[in-house]
Amino acid sequence: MNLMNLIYAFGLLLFAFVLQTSITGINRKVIARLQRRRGPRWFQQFIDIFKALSKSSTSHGWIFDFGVVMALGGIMATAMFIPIGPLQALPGLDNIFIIAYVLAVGMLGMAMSASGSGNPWASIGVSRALTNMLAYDIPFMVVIFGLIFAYDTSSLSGFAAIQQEGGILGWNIIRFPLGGLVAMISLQGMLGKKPFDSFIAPAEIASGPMVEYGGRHLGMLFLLHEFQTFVEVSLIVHIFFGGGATVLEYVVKYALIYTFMNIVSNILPRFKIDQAVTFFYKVPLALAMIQSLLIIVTGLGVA
Amino acid sequence: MSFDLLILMMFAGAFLAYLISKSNSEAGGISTVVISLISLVLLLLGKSQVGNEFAILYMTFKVTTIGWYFSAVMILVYSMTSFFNSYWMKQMLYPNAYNFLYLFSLAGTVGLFFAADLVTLFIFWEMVVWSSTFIVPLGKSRRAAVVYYTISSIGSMATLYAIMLLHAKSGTFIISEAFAWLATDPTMATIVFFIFILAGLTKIGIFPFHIWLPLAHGSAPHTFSPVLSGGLVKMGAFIAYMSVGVLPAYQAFSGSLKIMGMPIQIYLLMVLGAISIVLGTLMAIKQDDAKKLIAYSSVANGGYILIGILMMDQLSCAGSLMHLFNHAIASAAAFLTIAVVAHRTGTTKISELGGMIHRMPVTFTVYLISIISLAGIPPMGGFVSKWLIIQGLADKGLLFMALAAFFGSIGSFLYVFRPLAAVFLGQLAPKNYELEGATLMMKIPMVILSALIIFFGVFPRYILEVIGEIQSSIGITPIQLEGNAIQAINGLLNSYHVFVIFGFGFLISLAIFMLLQKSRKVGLMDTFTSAEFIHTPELYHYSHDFYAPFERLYKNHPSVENFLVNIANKFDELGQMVNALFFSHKPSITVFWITVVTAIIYLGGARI
Amino acid sequence: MMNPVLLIAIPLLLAFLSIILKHYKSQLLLLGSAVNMILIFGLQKGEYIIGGFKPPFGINLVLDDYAFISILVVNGLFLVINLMSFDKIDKLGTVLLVSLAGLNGMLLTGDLFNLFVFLEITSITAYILSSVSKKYQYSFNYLVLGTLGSGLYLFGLIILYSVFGSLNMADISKQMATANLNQMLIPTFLIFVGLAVEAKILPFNGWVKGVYGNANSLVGPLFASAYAGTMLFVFGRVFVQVLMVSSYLKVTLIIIGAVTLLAGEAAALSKTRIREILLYSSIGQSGLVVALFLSGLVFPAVLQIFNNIFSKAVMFTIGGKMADDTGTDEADELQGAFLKNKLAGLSFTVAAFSLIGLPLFYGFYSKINLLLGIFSLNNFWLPVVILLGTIIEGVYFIRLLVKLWTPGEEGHISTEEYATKFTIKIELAKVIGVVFLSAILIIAGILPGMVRNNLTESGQLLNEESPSYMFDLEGGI
Repeated sequence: MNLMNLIYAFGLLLFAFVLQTSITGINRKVIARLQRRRGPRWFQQFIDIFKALSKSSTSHGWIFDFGVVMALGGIMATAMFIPIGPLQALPGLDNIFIIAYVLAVGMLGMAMSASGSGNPWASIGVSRALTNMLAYDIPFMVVIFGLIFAYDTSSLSGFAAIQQEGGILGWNIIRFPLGGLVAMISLQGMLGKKPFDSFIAPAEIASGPMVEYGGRHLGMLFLLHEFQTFVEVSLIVHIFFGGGATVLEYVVKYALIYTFMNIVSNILPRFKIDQAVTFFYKVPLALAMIQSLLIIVTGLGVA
Repeated sequence: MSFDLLILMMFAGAFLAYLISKSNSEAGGISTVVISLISLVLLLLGKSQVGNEFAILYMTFKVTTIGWYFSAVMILVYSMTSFFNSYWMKQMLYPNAYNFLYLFSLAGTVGLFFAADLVTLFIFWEMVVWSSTFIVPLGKSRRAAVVYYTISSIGSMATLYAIMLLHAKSGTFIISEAFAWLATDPTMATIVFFIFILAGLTKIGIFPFHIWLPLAHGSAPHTFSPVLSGGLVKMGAFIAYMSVGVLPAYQAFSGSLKIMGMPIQIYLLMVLGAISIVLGTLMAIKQDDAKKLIAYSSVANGGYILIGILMMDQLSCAGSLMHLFNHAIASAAAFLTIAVVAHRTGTTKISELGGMIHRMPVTFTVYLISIISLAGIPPMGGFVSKWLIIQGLADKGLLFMALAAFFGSIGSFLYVFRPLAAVFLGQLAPKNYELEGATLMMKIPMVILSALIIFFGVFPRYILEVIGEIQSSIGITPIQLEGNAIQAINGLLNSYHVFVIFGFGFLISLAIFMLLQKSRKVGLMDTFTSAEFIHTPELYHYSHDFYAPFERLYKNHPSVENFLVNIANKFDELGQMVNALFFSHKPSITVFWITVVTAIIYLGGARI
Repeated sequence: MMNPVLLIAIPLLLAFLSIILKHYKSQLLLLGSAVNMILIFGLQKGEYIIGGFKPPFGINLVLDDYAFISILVVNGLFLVINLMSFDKIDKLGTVLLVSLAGLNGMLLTGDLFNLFVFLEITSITAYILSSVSKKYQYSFNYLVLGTLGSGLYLFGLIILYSVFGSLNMADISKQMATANLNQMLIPTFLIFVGLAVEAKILPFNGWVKGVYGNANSLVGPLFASAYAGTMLFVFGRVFVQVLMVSSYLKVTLIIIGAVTLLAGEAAALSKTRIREILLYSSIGQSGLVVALFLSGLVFPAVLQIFNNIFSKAVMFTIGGKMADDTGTDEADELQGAFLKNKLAGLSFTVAAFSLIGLPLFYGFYSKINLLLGIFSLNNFWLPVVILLGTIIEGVYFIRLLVKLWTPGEEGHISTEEYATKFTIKIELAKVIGVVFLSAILIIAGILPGMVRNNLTESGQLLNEESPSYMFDLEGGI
């Protein structure tokens, strides 16, 4: 690894930012249409972010600042590990567990910063977010575990390469439909979209973790959110939808999946936090276990 | 210095510390630092002595890489914790005995790790047990010491039985010979395996023997909890290693029933490990006492260590051996930070604290680093070892273990975050406005431990090379390293690169932060309150029932503790029954029994 | 060269003297036991005929390794205990001298009837000693049961005599080898019961609770070490060397021993008074030793007797002393009693550790050896019982020690303010005594080769080959 890799990675990072922020903007329009509104312009999200970054803000002490920096840093590092189609800045570092756990650095940073604000709403939101994570991550991990066993690889590019050999029928979502379903449900949880969005619940706990942020802090958290979404959706694209042989293919898949998840989110109500846990442990976890057992014991679906 | 002298020196050091403490207990506390640090240096310098054999009296020893590794972990934890001793001398009822037992138990562990015959192993094992038993009651609970001893004793007596049985069958006490003999006899190997490993299970705190950890770790003197959790628990891992690695378990069980590809004997124990992970995690989440919380996290981490060791393969075993080091230093560091808090505020209850970061930033940072490692998040050591264990599980397809491992991993975010949010972050109570932080003497070990956690997280190869040697010594493929990268069958981890990228991301983020408009500093009470007026910082702090919605889901859980207490009560009742039946103050009862027994003998004899 | 009969005669003589020299009873007692100690080192092993008739017609004393070891230890402990609790001797001097004669007689005699006589002498002194506590009902119980026991012993002996026409141990042993053991069932069992009453074997030991539970710092250790040790040594002598036990009876009796062990330990677990804990522990230990003797494991059994009597001497002295001073031995009321009596507490701790069999203490050596012996007999259930007993024993001793060392309430750091309000003043003599005894336990624990060498210096115990884990000073196993 040398400086070139870093510059390359930075380039991909910018690309990821533009990609996800645009798609977010487009989605705002899509949702508006669903709700019979006109909706904002597609680049409204860029405007929101840069506006927030340029405003003044208040700080509740060094950990409040440090947490935000650490969170955004961690998430950006994670985003750099993600290959975009055939483009990969840091080969060998796209191990799925590394990504999953480096992602956690960002989460931890944000949680720390939020609690450091001294506002109990923030702590309640963090407590809910972590509980949510305990719910959605486990079925997802179990499915991934089965796939790693099946293919003896745990890198995103490795998964993508294996699936691309078999065309559309080689996609894991086709081969392992149960696992694919679980992963999609978990993705909804990761993205914090309905029905799993109780941790930000604005009316109930004043946006939870975000309650104290404004100005550059909030702007950075917007950035963080975009990168986080990018990482999470990319995981699904790579693992279940065959990644992308070209950048275009990747971007199309990415946009479709994200939009689909967003539409689903907008027609669902919200789970209470303990309902979410019970749901994830009852249905997706059971499906995930069945899927992984099928893979491990019978090898069903493994090429 | 050869290791027989080292062991003797450590025992002598214990007596020396006693004598020094007699005249000045604080000097005695310092002497434990000096003696344990000297031991650490001598041990680290003595790596080349691997292979040497020596004897003290009737006890025989052999220096092995695994013994050296465990000793290094143990002395490291002891020596780091010993920096705290002198501050607690005033609170101790018996400061000199404390210092003596502290060093004595350390010397005992080193003897244990180098034992070449089973009797020596047992001798040192028991020495550590009784010496540490008497430190525990100096803290907050007498019952804890009794429970600790009882559980340890169940394990050690079982092991003694296994040792004697093995000797009766194989005719030798020499560890290598006796265990090698078992490879040929699967039935005996199964029996010895299960009974022998029991001591390990009790010490690691594997379900259903975990109940002593929260009790003893939670109520031992604050300076001993780090040692219990970081150090002494690892003795159990050593026994587990002996039962699977030195005892050729896989060879002996090659003919037995396989579940998910593992011999049933091993799989059963793995299930116990998995239960420990889940149970430790769930219990840690609902604790309100920071020390009990970390104690339950030790139960969960013990589960990982046990599962990894039981795998005895290239990946998980290496991960497990590394994890015990990572857990040792991280949990010791976490306990030390709680000790600082307890020293300054007099409590370890999470709900009574808050905002400590504003009074003790260094302690907070150390806690942060240690919990990142405990939760297994990069770039700390804990991540590398958990990654190895999980990759190993994926390689073998051990789904249920992996499920537990994932649950423990994510669950650990929940429980480690709780003290972070409620003890260190949040509102600072006015009574704590003038609180002092850690003293320099306390900061030294905390900073060293944090540095080690990060260093071995970024450069795990320095520890994995030693583990590779251990793996080669028992004939399994050593972990494969390429520079800083770990090359697993099903994945690659270059933690140095991960660290660099993380640093790069952090720098970008920092640059964004610095370039933007400066923010205005406001106080903790100056927050969004939905237009309510707030006056009392303590009340404006979310620390009670942190995960209430989640805890509600399992509040009616069954408890193995009640079950064990019931068993203990049964013995008590048996005693009372014996007492009522045979020990009355009426001689006629005894005459009655004499008649009964004579009649039985007579009738029985008449039939012959 | 001395005749061992002096060991019996001198105390008896001094006992008569002490009736005349009323004011010097205690001094005469010390003189007697000290002289005995000196005499023991001048003894020559062999068989001594008393009264001029040759055995099997006359009475003889047998001084073999076994007898030598046992009289050495019993007389030694007797002396140490009397020194420790000198203040309590007072009027008991005569009785104690007689009891010393009786104990030595039991250990030395080579004749079963003579054994009965000494047993009676010893028992009578024991009844008197037990009445020191002023709990006359318990002494009376003891009297009734003791008499019943010796009666049964005598009954069994009569049957034996009618079969073999001899009372000499060696002679009976010789004739037993060819006899039908099943026909010997009843006399053997009756003798067992007779000895079991004194050796505290369940269910013949109803008297122990009242007597041991109220014994003071002189009587307690004497009963628990000198008397208990002697009874167990005698039991070993009779059941290993003299009587042959049929396999049916042997299994039954071993089970009785094992049950005694477990029941004693369980009963101790449920107790909170120090002396009660100790007495039930003694019962358990007796069961263990009896099971070992009946399994034919003499060497480990002897080791275990030593372990038990040395430890119990220390613990009963301290426990009795605390009860003497405070009027109670309820552990809860004596919390932190060792805080002001560190040396005595340390000795108590060492004794307890040794009894549990923790390493570095003598008890570990005996535990390893007895396990080794039992496993060598391919007996795999008895070790389970013994180890279970060890666990229970450990639990209640650690519980007791923790309470006595570290007073405190749950949830609060142990501090002095929780300690007992009673003042316990353990005199220097007692402290020196218990420290001396516990030092023996430590030294013998660290250098067990010493014990081994002394025990097997000249041949093996009772010509019996029990395997032993030989700890050599040179290292190696």
